[in-house]
Parts: sequence; structure tokens; C-alpha cells
Amino acid sequence: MAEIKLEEVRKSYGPAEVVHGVDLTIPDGEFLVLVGPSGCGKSTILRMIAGLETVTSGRISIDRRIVNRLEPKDRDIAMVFQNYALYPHMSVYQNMAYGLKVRGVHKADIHNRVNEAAVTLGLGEYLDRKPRALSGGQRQRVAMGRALVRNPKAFLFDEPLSNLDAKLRNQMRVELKQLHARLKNTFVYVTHDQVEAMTLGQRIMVLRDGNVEQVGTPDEIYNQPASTFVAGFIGAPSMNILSGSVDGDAIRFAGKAGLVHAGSLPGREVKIGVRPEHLCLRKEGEGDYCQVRAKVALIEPLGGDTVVHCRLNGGSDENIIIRVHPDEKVGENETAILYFKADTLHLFDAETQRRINGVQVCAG
Amino acid sequence: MVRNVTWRTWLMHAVLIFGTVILAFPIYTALVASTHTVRAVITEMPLWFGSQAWENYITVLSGGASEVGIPPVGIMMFNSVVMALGITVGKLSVSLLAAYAVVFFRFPLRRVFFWMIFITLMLPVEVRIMPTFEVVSDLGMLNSYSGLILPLIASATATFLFRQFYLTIPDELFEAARIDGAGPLRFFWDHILPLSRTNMAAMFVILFIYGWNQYLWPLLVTSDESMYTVVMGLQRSTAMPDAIPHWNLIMSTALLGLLPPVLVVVFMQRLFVKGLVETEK
Ligand SMILES: Nc1ncnc2c1ncn2[C@@H]1O[C@H](COP(=O)(O)OP(=O)(O)OP(=O)(O)O)[C@@H](O)[C@H]1O
Ligand SMILES: [Mg+2]
Repeated sequence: MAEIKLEEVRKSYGPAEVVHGVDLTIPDGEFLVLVGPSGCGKSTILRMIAGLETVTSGRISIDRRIVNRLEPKDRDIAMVFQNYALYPHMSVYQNMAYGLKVRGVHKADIHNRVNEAAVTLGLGEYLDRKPRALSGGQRQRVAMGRALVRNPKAFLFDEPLSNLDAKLRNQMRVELKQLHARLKNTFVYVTHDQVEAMTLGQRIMVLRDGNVEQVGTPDEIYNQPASTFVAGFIGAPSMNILSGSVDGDAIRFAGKAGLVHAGSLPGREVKIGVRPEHLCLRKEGEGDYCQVRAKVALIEPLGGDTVVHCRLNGGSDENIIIRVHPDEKVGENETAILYFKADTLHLFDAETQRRINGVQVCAG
Repeated sequence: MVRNVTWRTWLMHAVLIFGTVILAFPIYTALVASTHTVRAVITEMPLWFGSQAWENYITVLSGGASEVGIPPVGIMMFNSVVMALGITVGKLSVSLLAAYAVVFFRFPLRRVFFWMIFITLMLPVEVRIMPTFEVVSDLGMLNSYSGLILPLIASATATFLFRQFYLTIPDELFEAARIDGAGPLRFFWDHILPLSRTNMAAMFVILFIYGWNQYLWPLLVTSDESMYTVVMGLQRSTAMPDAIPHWNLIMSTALLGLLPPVLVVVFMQRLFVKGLVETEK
């Protein structure tokens, strides 16, 4: 178990810098998820922690010890790869035992630990099989078992579930969470899937092009996204981002609808974010409701709820997506009035795309 | 349609049988010749087996053919086996390691080294025979197994083959092993060698036959009869001055000399084919 600390960590491949200074402290026993779109540098950061990639500048320490120059084997970490990287010529047992064998662990001890891990992961009857005779989910478990038997200070996962089908992915997600709850080691988990990030992570780090956009608990990431990028990346369907212009103490958007704000805004332009689930077709009880008029363009019934794609009236030509109860009666091409409470919306600076905090708004 | 198919089947078989007969004829001739007396073989070449088989084979095997210029076949076979195995094992070890270095290590001028190895494809022994002979003779390795083997054990072909195979091994395997604590040598031993098994078997067959069939090089570096190999020893015995070549005994020796490569092919055939066609590890 160990705290992992990254200070001003940068990575360049030749002249191209792909990680631009990451600062992060992962406390002992935390489940941290690195999330971001493809190519944003998630794997690179994880591999630097593992020691598979050199650090161009900055410092990485595990358990208060700077590991920049340490070989992977001396860092006491285990890693699970996206394609599992099982040794094809070794049986399941040998795959799991290999790391212990190389480290000179006693045979009987290896035997106990491998069998224990096999029971935990339900691999008991496959110990003699070769990886090619296993299903994807079983291979995945073997890869986890290989990490598990070593009982390392930290587990590193690089998109371990992305090669599984949806059902198995959900199941393994739950098991991973239970595993962490039981082991209480530090977990660092890379994914591009925001559902995995939200459900697994105690804290989430959102990356974009090698920059940290936001680090926070799932709740903070969801309810107080630090930028329009985070707002759009987390949550499905993603948050609606509308353009607004500041006019004195009023903010105009979607043609004529308006908001009144108290506080100072940095510029003339703002972005207004509203989650699809915060929009509704009628007022529910009392509250400070804003309203916009929109034309329904497309209806997607998902069973549990219905996603309605609308086009805002008022010449701003913006799309807005709402998520409503399946019983709501709306038809395509109808005009609807969409309501949302002023306190559910998010304000962003149009220029920097960063969140604006401390500005009170109400419907006006 | 049906008649057409049978007609074509017949034709195909005829062609195949014809080819087989042409290929097998020399071997048949050798077999037949090895069963007659030298007089019968030289006067009119018989087309059917004679009754001298037992005597001929006993003669060559017991070394009784030395008087007619054929060195003892047992020693020649032994020399050939040592040379062929030496060349094969040497080539395999050198090329496995060379390919490992070229694929898995980043060192300065890596590509240059690879291409230097590759260029040696254009420099087989026959091309560099004078300088190689000079070196071997200066090192006092004439008439020795090391002299027979060492100059032949670098192999660009095998290095290239193993390089191509190593390139198909995913990087993650190496990384997983690194995290498991295996250093480069351990990775080579525990993972690369077992994974290369079928490729090694295929190369073994090819290289063994290559080694067995070496002719020019043994001819140059061995002058002592006790170091003769079968292939060159046979040639010597056909060219005895002032004597008629004993073709019946020569053919018996040749057939005995055919046996080891045939056995290697027969016993390694399955692995050999697997090594050539298998892409998945
Ligand atoms: N060996 C390399 N040489 C040059 N550039 C590289 C190398 N490895 C990665 N990169 C670049 O670094 C950037 C980050 O790559 P990385 O693999 O960390 O992305 P990622 O976030 O893991 O993406 P994905 O979700 O697709 O796995 C990419 O733009 C990639 O092109
Ligand atoms: Mg990646």
C-alpha cells in the first residue's frame, strides 16, 4: 500500500510534448481513475508510474520514495494490460506464478498464493489451461490474478475491460470495485469510458491533450465540472452547452430568454450548461424556472427514459437534448417549451471555457 | 462432367507419377548399383537388384573399402554429423541472439547493424573462400572440427527469420515480464525461446541439411582422411588416380550418407511444417 505522487511530470517523444506537467497525489488506498478521450496521454501517465516509460521531467514517488530511475520490478507495482499480455506458452497457473518465481518466492508459498487468487477469481478449474483455450473474460481474470498474487503496493490498470462485451464489462466492473474494497491497495485505473470512471473512481482525473482538466470526486466532476470539456465528457447524453451574451446584469441566450446575474462576469460572452436530465417539459412545483422554446427534431426511446433532440427557436440554431420520463407525450416536429431551474445551470467563460464560480443567477 | 473429372484426375496422376519416377530414378539406380559387384556395374549397368548387397554394405561399413579409395564410412558419417550439428546449433544460437538484440534493444546504429547482418546474405563461403581460408589456416584450425564449423555459423537468413518472428510478439509481453521482474536474459530464456520452438525446429531441418551438404569448404580445410565428411569423401573416391572407381561401394556409401538428413526430415516434418505456416503464437 502506498501513496503515489506526481510532481510537474512531463513527457516528450522527440520534440512533441504529450504530457504537459501533471501534479497529482494519490493517497494510500485510493481508487483513482484517469479518464479522457483517445490520445490524451492516459496510458503514457500510467506507464510512467509503472516505469515502462521514462519521465522527461518532474518527479514520481511511490511511498515517499522517488522512483524516476527505478526499474518496474523495483517499484512494487502490478499492471493489467488492455490486451492482457498473458504468456501464451504458459498455463494459467504458470502465468500467475511467474512473477513470484522470478522473485524467488518459495514454491509452497507460490502454490498457496496462486490457489488463493484462483479461488477469488473463480479460475480454479482452469489452472492447467493455456491462455488460448480461455474466453476473453477468463483471460482478463488471469491477468488480474497475475497482479493479485504479488500483493503489490499499487495496481495499475490500462483499460482492462475494453475488450469485453457489455454484459461482462458490467459484471467485472462490480467485481473490481469489490476487490478494491477488500484489498484496500492503491488502484490507478485508465479508461475512456465515463461510466467506468464514475462508478469505479473515488476520485477522477480528467485529461485532455496531456493537460489536467479537473481532479475531483465523481460528485464534484458531475455537479461542478471545471470546464466545458469536462461538462461535455462526463454524463450521457452530454451536457447542453448554449452560448449567452452578457448585457448589463442580464444574460441573454436562445434568442430572447434571459437570466439575471449578481456578481462580475469576466467577459461579454458566456457559455451556459444544462444537463439533459435537468430539462423538463413542464414545471414541477414551485421554483425559479427558466424557459426556452424549441422544436422537437428526434425522439429516442431508451426504455427507462426517452431522449428528445430539439432545435432551439429564436434563430440561434442551437441543438438541445433533454431526457424525460417515457410517459411524456411529445411528437416530432411539435414545438415544446422546455423548463429548467436556474440553480441547475452551469456558467462557463466563453473564452477560456473554464467554469465561472460565485455568480448567482436567477430567471429573468 | 463426371467423365471429364476422371479424365483430368488420370492426367494429373500421370503427371505426378512421371515426376516422381524422374526424381526417384537416381536413387533407384544407386540402390541397384549398390547390390552388384564392381564388374557388373562397370561393364553393363544392370536395371535390377543383384545379390551383392550384404557384401557391399559390410565392406563399406567395416572400412574394408579403404583399399579402393573410399575412406571408412563410419568416421566420415561421424564427421558429417558433428559438422552438420555444429553448424546447425551454432547458426541457431547466433541468429536467435542476434535477432533478439536487433529487435528488443535500442542501441546506437541498431539499423546499421541489422543491415550489416543482412548484407552477409550476399557473402556465402564460396564468395569469401580465400580470406576465410587464410584466417582459418592462420588460426591453426585446418583439419579440425572448429575449422569446419566456425566459418559457417553466421546466418543472415536465420537471423532475418527470427527477427520477423520476434516482431510479431507484442510489446506488452515484454513489459509484463519486466513488471514481473524478468531481466532481458531471463525474458529470452523463459519466453522468447519457448515461443520460438516451432520456428527453431523448421530452421533446424533446413540448416542441418545445409550443413550436411557442405562440400567445397570441407574439401579445402581437411586434408587428413580422418577429418573427411561423407559428401566430400565420396567425391575423392570417384577420382582415384590409376584405378577404376568402385561404383557399387561408392553407391552404398552414398545411400548410407543419405540416411541422416532423411531421418531428420522424417522425424521433424510435423514441427517443420508447423514452423513454416504457423503465424499465431
Ligand atoms: N512511442 C511513442 N512515440 C511517439 N508518440 C507517442 C508514443 N506513444 C504515444 N505517443 C503519443 O502520445 C499521445 C498520448 O498517447 P497515449 O497512448 O498515452 O494515449 P491514451 O490516452 O492512452 O489513448 P487511448 O485511449 O487511445 O489509449 C498520443 O498522441 C500518441 O500519439
Ligand atoms: Mg491508452
